[in-house]
Amino acid sequence: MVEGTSLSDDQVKPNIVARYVGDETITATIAVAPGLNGPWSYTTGIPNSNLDIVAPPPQYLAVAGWAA
Amino acid sequence: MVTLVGVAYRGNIALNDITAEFKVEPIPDKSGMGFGVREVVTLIGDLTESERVRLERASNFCPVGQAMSKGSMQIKDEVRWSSKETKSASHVPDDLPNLDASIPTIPFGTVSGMYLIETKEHDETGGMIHEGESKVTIRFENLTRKSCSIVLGGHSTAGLVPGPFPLAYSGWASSTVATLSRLLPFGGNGADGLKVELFMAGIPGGSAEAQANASEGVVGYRDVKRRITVPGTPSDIPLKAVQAALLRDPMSITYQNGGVLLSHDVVIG
Repeated sequence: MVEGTSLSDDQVKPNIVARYVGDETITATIAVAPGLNGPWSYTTGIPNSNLDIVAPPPQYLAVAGWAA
Repeated sequence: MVTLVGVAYRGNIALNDITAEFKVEPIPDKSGMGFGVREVVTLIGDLTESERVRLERASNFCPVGQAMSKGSMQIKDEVRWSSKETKSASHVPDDLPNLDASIPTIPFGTVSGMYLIETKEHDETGGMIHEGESKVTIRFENLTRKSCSIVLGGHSTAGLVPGPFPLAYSGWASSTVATLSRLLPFGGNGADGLKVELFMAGIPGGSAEAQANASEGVVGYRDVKRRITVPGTPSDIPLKAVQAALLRDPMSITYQNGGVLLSHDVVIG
């Protein structure tokens, strides 16, 4: 059995925005539009072989949502 | 975890507590995803075998987990350049360019979820109105220091924490940015101005319907529109280069194809 949801064409504001803020870091903000909830911002780090990762890589944030 | 709390409540199952432990492993050749996870869910309560089986099925079909393990996202992509041109990127041609740069490997680590039972909310009759929140601890290997972060997610009236799905999607949006920043041919200013926006429809019946689907083993496909804003013009960053990069993004591959789950165990604690 399969069910689904469809995106309305009139949704003009994003729910989540992620921005590049440097060679090692990205910020993502949830619930960027005015409303009852949020916003919540998270910093994630881009792995590399030479430097400490400054924050959890993005995949870890996705798994954190899974765990919650 | 809050999915199982809701399923247990609606099924009159005496689930007293729950934890979820994930091991994250880099696997360079795993269908382009580059990683896999091993999940152990521990149920605490006086449960019958049929109740345990029901909760195990719900764990297999929790809305956030199934998106990554079964690939239930249907993605429409749009690319916008800072020069204001906008093009659909959903139709992917066969003649995409090869991008020489590589995607960095993620480190080993763990993601540990603890249910905060005192955050469960009830109405005046004792009925549950919100499942409450989870505290999630992220640990990963680093070069010179230990790295640990804590995030909260769940369902609560006050909206003090994000829902599990938005929390996971913020990782996906960030993964897209990370991948494009490494693979696209940015000029002297680097990837400054690179941005990813996600437009998502809500689940029609809310978390209650999502939990009912999970308990019945239903895969819920969801539409998401993703807008990628890149600096420059289409001649600086061609559309086909963006499309080629998106096909190599670990989280995009995971959400479209599934397969990230290496093992899944549900045990009674």
